[in-house]
Amino acid sequence: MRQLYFKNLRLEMGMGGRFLVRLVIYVFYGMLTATMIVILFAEMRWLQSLGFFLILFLGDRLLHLNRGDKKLAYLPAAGRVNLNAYLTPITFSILERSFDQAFFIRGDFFLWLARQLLDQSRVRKLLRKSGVKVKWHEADKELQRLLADSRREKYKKAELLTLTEQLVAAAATEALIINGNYVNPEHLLLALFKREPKAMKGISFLGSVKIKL
Amino acid sequence: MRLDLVVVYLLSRFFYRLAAFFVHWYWHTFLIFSGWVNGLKSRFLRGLAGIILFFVYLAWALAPVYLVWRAFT
Repeated sequence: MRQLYFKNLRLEMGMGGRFLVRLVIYVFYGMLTATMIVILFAEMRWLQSLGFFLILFLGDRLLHLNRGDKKLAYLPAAGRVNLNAYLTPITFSILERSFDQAFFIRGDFFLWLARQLLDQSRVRKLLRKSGVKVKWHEADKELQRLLADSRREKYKKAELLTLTEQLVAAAATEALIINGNYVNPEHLLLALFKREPKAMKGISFLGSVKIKL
Repeated sequence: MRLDLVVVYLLSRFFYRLAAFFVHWYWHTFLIFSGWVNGLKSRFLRGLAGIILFFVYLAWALAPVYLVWRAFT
């Protein structure tokens, strides 16, 4: 029996910690790229070798840039499985932003998530394909209004972690049903419709839509 | 700010990425090559392609090892 769960250290950090992580990662890759270029033209042969190795390493990172760490096809059939490795970076970034907004600005977590999802061009394309004919700035205005109405909603961190975990598990199930390689933002949207129909019904342009993937 | 979490996260990601590079380089290339060989219908061609790809894979596998060896010795 497979038990899906979701745990990522980044969500357990504070906003400052997450900012520091992002900063260190960007600076690290920036410096690594600059180092690679400089040492490729070094006169010492051993340094050039290191430069070529860095080309291979950074090339591999570029090839796998918008992919998850593991494919859902390799999901173990039994045991406890952390879904963190199966999320694409953009899916995690959407969850992270919605998590921060619900925690710091307050308001319904699912509405924040819906707003983040609607910012994605691939999600808009999917909704258009499913028959949603709304101007996106009007959709955003409606979401802003609903969010303003839900400002009283206040979550504890543990509550948000549980909600996120449940939603990611539902999104992974959706992705598995349609043989997706990774958990993408579209799967989050599908999970949102199935798990939180109440929250979705409140959004007029999404209330009665049936998603066609 | 939980600096311990930040340090643990960054270190684990760094080593994970490094390990992922070697997994992609060795295991994924092996899977691709074996997929090519198994896709051939004739037994003779499979044998021939297997031998050629074995040597190509050997050169491919030694490339990062050679670069690291040259850089640090």
